Amino acid sequence: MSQLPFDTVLIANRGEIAARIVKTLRKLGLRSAVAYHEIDARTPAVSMADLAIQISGNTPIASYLDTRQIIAAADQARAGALHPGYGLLSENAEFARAVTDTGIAFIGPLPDTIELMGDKIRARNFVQSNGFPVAPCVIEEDDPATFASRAQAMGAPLLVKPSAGGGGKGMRIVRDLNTLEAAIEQARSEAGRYFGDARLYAERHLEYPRHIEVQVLGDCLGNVVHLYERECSVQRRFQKIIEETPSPALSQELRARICDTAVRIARAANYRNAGTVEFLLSGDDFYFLEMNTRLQVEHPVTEMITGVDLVAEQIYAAAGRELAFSQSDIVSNGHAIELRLYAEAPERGYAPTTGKVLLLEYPNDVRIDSGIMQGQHITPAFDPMLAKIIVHSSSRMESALKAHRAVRELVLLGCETNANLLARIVSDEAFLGGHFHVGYLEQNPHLAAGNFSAGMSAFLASAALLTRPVRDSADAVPELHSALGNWRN
Amino acid sequence: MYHSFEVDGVDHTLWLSASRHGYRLHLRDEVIAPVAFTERSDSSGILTIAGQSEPVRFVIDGELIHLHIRGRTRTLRYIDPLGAYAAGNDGTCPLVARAPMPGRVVAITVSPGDSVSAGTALMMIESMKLETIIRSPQDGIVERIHVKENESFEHDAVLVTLSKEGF
Amino acid sequence: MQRIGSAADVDSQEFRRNDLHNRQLAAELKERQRLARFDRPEKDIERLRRQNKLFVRNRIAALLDPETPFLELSTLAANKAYNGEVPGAAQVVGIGIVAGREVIVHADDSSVKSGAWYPLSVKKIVRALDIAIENRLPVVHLCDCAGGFLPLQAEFFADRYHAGRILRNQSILSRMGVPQVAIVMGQCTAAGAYVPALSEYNIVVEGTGAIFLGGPPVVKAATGEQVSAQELGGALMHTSVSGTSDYFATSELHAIAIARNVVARFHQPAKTCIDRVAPEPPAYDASELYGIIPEDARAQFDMREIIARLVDGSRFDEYQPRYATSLVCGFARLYGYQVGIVANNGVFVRRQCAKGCSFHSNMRQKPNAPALPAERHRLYGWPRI
Repeated sequence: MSQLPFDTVLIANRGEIAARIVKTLRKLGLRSAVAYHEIDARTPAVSMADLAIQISGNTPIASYLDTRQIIAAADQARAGALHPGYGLLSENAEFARAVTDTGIAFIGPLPDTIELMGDKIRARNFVQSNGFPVAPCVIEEDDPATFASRAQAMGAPLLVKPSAGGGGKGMRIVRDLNTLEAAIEQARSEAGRYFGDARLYAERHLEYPRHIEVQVLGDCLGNVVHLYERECSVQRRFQKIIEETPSPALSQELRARICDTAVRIARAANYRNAGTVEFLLSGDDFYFLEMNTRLQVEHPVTEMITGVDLVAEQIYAAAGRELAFSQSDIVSNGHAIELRLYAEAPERGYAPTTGKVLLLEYPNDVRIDSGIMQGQHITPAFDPMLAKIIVHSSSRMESALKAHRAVRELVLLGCETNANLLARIVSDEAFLGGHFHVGYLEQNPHLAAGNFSAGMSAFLASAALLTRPVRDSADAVPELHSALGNWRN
Repeated sequence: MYHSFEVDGVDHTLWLSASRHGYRLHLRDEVIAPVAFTERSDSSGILTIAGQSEPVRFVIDGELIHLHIRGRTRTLRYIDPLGAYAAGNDGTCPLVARAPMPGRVVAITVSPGDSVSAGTALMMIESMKLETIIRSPQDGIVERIHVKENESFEHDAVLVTLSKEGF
Repeated sequence: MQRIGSAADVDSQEFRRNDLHNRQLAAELKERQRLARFDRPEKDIERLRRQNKLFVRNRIAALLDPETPFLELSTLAANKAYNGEVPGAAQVVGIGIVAGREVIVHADDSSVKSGAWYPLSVKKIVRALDIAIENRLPVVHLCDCAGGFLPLQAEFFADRYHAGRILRNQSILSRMGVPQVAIVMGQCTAAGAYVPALSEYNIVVEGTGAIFLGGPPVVKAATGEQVSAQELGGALMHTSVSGTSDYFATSELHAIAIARNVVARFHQPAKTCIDRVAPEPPAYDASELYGIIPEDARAQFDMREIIARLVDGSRFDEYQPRYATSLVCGFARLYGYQVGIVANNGVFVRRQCAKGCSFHSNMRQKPNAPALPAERHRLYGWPRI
């Protein structure tokens, strides 16, 4: 194999994904450099990377979105390539262009592809015009004055979404058409703030479909393969929390159909690099939701069952190499589940939590993609995802058992997390039976609420015995009196 | 005077008493005996409760006791009676609107001196992906706004102080 | 030691008659105690609520260590005096455990006549403080007293055992180095003002607590000055201006928490090393005492039947079992402690007197049972003849 055209890669990201990319770079013998904000100085990626370059901004997030500083950091690191991770600048076509223009390879698709798929309305039209299924929808831009009435005519339930959006930001479900106007206003305000683009569209909301996505990989020679699907239906507020592959919902025939559709959409878009085509599945019908032109958070489950290092493949694709395998070489082996550990309290309506990681111990023999380390402060500055636990086994049931054990063995003290919820889900009957959809958590509020008093006495006993004033007051009482107890004459 | 620990906003009173065979734990509706805790290291130990042993991981951070037992994590806060009772029952304590979660201020909709009633929107905050409106807990006058637009704050931070009307 | 063999026939008619009678007596005692403790007119309970005050029993419950005993003293004081209108003499006193220390608790019961002191209240307090002196027990005063009941003020100060004795006893405790802490939960006026002032530590509850010799009406009468109780002698005044009080409390529970904290700093004297083993219940059911003690107070019964139902394992080592048999002397263990028992079991004349004296002096010399505890835990049983 030919030498790669670059020896240093700048990672324009943070948290677990930056650390995960460093690992592959190290494996490939490449130098890793990360750009980081001061607040992240004490994180795994910064401590693992060969080079860490500090950037700054009005807010921590603003510094990671500052194209000028990121490119300057790449220059300073003498990086020949830049990996944007996911989120942040990963789907920003202008950024990709600016990177490419300075002669640095952008590890991702071509800017035009990002632009096409990044505009949800254009992407939708593109997919529809190529003959693939999409959900009914009305687009504000077509005639802004009649947007609300056209949405009204489509009927409830519907989903108001920003055209520029993704990741659930600014989305509003409208079940009662009387609330449509308010939902549009709120969505518009959030869209403007998050994406600098207040354009909206409304689409038919399928109550309780499944969210199925297909991992694709393309090279610059036009070869596109899929690496099977991922089942991402366990969600809260449009945020995935547990993903797995293979999906328990797909027959072999349906799997072949949906994966083939994904490959054809990617091929039509002349797709290069790793990407994900997302579908909503209802019964045996599925339709195109969107295409993410980047690495997904949940990519590890695909890596576990295929043995393909997706970050390495991204780097090869960006270096102009031809795919080293064809579709028939990719074999799905066993079953993998990913649990996302969030700094949030499902018991209190998923309120985000903060704190300091005082003790951190990960379970053995499972894959952990961690964005935190002991001593680190968890702040509300970023997305609340802390780490991912990825398990791989021969069957779905075994993976679920392994995931349950792993999440219970994980010790993170100092910041409340959703670990208890994750443990409840992977041992829940509906989950184990494969019977769930995107409304699963909403319909089963007991999973988020948990059993508040379960096992409380062990906690109270430990706390009592570990608290000096409690122990001291017990020890101060002479034995005779304590033996007599609450005696009264 | 019983000891008290707060867990997820709920107070649990308890008392520990010593006996010849270790400690007894008196909870509101049960007594568990014997209970014992053997520390193995700075952060791990064995809890023996009613004859069963459980490994426990723990960190004590001031009044907070972070515990991991049987795959479950909880944080308990020891309520020091001197502090707790001193703060309570204080009629002069001003009314405040606190942050229900950590986040950032998006927009402030009132100014000091404004008269507000219970439920009036004081400010919009944003936490991760959600916008939340902070509303006045009671009728009163906005005395002070403790945060600026775009400023970040922690959970439970005081955002707005109100004073009683005509007070 | 030998176990006492009981000859009581629990199935006999006499036993059952005694049992019924004595249980009725016990129930009546309990009921009178309950009434003295808790039976209050609704208006008095309502007044406490309005004043933001806790009922005296709740104050004591918060003060004491949970799951420890409280030995209440003089529970039926002033039982039928003052037309029965002053249950417990408007006082609660007893020995309880605070922060592991044995203390005398003295609390004014302001649900009775606003906690006003009656002559028998004074007697009850003096007695409690006498016990504190005898046993070197620290005292916690929960002060909430409206002052002396004026119609009876002639009976307050004239005698050496009257109210001045309270202040004298407090001073003796101080001299002995036995500390006191007072919580001012109401207005401490006149003589009542000395109780917190003579305590080593005092805490005032903001809003309700105040200390002054003469209250606002007296000030008005004397100088014409209008002044509120809080300005004159409230928590803020005494903790920041006069220095009479040590701690400012925002609520009664806050004050109690401070008092517990203060007591926790008191010296905890080491207990005398006494002969004690693990306790053992008596071999006979203690509730059988109801059937054994005769309904007729003049009837004779065997005192050993009583001892058998009190002492550990019903084991009793009798002294001079053949001599002067109407006085039973011997050793046993009570709740694990070695004790000497002297029990009258019939006529008491010269021989019995000699036996008792010699048993008593032997106990003092017993090498393995230190004289003091054996003496201290001496148990006398007197049948009514």
